[in-house]
Amino acid sequence: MIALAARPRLAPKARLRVDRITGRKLLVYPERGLALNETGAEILDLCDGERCVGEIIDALAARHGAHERIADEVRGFLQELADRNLLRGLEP
Amino acid sequence: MTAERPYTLVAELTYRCPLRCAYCSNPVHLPGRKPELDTATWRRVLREAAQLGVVQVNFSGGEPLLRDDLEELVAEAHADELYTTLITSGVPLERERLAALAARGLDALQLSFQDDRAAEARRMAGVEALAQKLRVAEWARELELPLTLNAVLQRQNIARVPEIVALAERLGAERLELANTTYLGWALVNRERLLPGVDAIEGARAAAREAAERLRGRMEVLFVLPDYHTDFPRPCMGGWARTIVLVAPDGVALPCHQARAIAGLEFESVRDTPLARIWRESAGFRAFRGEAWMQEPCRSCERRQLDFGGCRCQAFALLGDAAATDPACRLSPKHAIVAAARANAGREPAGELVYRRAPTPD
Repeated sequence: MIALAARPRLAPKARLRVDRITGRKLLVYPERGLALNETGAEILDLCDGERCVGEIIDALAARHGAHERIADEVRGFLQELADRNLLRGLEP
Repeated sequence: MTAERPYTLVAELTYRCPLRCAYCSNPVHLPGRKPELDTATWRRVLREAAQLGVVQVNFSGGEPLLRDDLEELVAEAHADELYTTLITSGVPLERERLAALAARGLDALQLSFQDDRAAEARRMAGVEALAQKLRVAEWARELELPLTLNAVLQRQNIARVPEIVALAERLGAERLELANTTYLGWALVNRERLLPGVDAIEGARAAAREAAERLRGRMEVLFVLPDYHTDFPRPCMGGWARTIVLVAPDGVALPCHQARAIAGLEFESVRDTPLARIWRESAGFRAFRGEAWMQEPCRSCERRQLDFGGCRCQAFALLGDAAATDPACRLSPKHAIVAAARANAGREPAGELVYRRAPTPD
């Protein structure tokens, strides 16, 4: 489980870009690509290695409300990326 | 039907290679082969690919390091926002050149391994290369280039999965592909000498599963079963001309490495036709796109959107009919061909390997 105190940032192998065909954010890494939905793109924008997970959740909840649902979404999404070894800064 | 866009371009820069691996997927024969594309044409192809929606480019071959313009092509791909991976044997390479490639925007390195033992690696590759590969992996780590190890599994190394995993961990690989040999090209020539028996496959699979669990979040471990040992065919290339486009050294655009071996299909060259037009309109690309070409049992099979009928090149190589159900599928009326090869696998002594040569024009 992703700790609230972790300060995640993208691993060097991952590149975030805009897809030329769909206009959506795309996370590209060796042999793979992940099309991000709006929430995923918003979460990654905040993963700068400075903010902790708790602050990322607070920032998104301030925008969208529903703190509990946002918290689940953020930690679920970050866990998915962590399982693919796409994040750094997970050790609080 | 048309497929919207390819996501990956496989740029086969050359068929030249210092290695002679007995399982090489390059074509054995290649009638009508033209000289290699020049730098300006490859740069145009990269720009056209990016416009068409490609996001990943794999520079491969043969050995792409034998192209003097690799640095320039990496820089072009980087400028086109493509994620660039160099798929290489690591021979010949110096640390300075790898650093220069990284500085030009190379994103990742995929290094091939034949075996974790020098003598066995030499037997499979036909040349001495293991020590050099270990050096290259070390440089990749120093330069912070994400490293994938690709170990092609066959009879000789199939029991070495734990040792290969340990090597990948020691080298700091991000990803380990334990890819069983695909029996086309030179591998089909050597099939009886390479195809492992059922028990050996099961052992390797269990070891790979254990490693994948243990290393989750640190190193991705991918185990690809050989389709001779599965009940259903592999979804070759993710479906014919669906997400991947390949450009051969002489400029012919293809849906996969082996597609030119299929008699009766016509493929255009990027020398005189834009890549987008080839992708959308080429008769060769359209031949097996979608489902209209399927025969029974594929046509009414509920798995047809999972495996796309399997591999067209394998159907052609083993049955002479590229539109037939891949005989690796147990539902194929010709599955006995594959079942017989599987039943005999690993029983006879492996014998002398037939080593790869550059494709002959006959």
